[in-house]
Amino acid sequence: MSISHEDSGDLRRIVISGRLDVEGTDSVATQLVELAQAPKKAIVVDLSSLKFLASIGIRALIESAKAVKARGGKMVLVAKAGSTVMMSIKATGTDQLVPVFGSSSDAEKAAVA
Amino acid sequence: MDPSKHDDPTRTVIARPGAPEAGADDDRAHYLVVVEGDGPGRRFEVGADILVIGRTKPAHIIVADALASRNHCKVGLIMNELFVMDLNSSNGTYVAGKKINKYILTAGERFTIGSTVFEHEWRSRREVEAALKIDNDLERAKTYVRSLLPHPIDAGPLRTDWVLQPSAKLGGDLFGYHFIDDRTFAIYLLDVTGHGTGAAMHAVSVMNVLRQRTVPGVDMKDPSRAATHLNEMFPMESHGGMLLSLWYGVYDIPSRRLAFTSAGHHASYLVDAQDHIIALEVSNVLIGMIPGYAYRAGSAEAPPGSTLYVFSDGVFEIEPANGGEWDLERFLALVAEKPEQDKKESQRILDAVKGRTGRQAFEDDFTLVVTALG
Repeated sequence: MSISHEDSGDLRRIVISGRLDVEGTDSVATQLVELAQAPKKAIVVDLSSLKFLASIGIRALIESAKAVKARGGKMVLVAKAGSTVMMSIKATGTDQLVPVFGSSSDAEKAAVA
Repeated sequence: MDPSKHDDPTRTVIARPGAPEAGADDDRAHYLVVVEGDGPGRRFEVGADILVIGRTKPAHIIVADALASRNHCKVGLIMNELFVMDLNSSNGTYVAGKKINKYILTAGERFTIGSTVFEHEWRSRREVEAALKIDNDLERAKTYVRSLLPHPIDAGPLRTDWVLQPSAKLGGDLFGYHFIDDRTFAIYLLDVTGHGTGAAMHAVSVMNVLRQRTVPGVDMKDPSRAATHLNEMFPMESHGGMLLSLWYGVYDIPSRRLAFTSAGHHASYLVDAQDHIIALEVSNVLIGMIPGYAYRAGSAEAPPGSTLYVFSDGVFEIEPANGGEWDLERFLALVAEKPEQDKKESQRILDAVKGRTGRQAFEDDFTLVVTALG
């Protein structure tokens, strides 16, 4: 499980991959919340190579999305249609708070719009 | 006993101001911890003596594992490194899937005998004591959570049975049921995001609201009102960022109508006498996520002879240890299989999940409540 990021202009792209489950998720969740605090307007969190998303990960996504929104920015997610990660996002209603896209290019367009 | 470990009264101690606290590192010891199989969390210190691991005495570390030999392997230290050596066991000793004869384990490496997995830890005794304290707190929380769970119902208009196998880290699952009045039965299951005592205690606070048959100004027979009320009471912003998923159902016995809501929670399932499966799910967000959210509810009629299955995601989000696959679809297929004589339905399913995933202990709480609606 790993988390990385790259910045271009006013956009920050955060990529989480591996299996975001109980073991070790706490540290990735904390890093995600911290990375999303950057004073960037648009945050794209790419989960398309993530295999599993536990509830603590959902919580970190929601906390981050709320923090980004509170400072006037926009956060969006990238997840593969039909994946277990997408199922978790939909089952928890996370997609009602954070827009989700199937491709990173669509997500980036929506985030900077 | 190592004589150097005794206090030497003639030793001179030089205190260096600003130096790291003495003892933090020189206090390290080698431990083996059971991470899977018989008694996860059991920890054994490996010191000067060689320890035999096996199925029965006189082995020093005993594992109740049918696949382990009586004297399966031995562990000890060579030059302060931990080795494991197989003792011609029937089923072998494995490291990273490879059968080994003798192997030096670095810290964090694991070995497997039968279906029991040991991990090598090299930690300070102080750290281990701190970890033990957390384990004790978790144990207390588990006992407390268990004491709140309802008794199975085995008489009257409907029957219940359940299993709740908490994960080593305590996943924050909780469920309950009760009669609101003579004709109305309420049942719920909730899962707090995260794990540990904090998550469990948050689950208890929420449950304490759900247990009340009457809440001023809230009709607890109406699932959408009950969920909306909880969402107002437990916003994540004032509860340490904690959120929860909830499935809440209210069954009107005379009319056989089941009203329900799912808040960020997967469906519960109704299985009728012909094994047709009906998913009971409404799309709503997690409780505590969006202030003022109006939760929607659905309803279904339970045909005679039907059974309601309410469960947490821990029953299907399991990574099998045997290379197989496990998911919701496979779990539902198992639910639809025939009940076993003389075995509670929830126990039948738990046993089968263990068999099919090759796991005895799970990463998340495994909670399943079965209600025969008559």
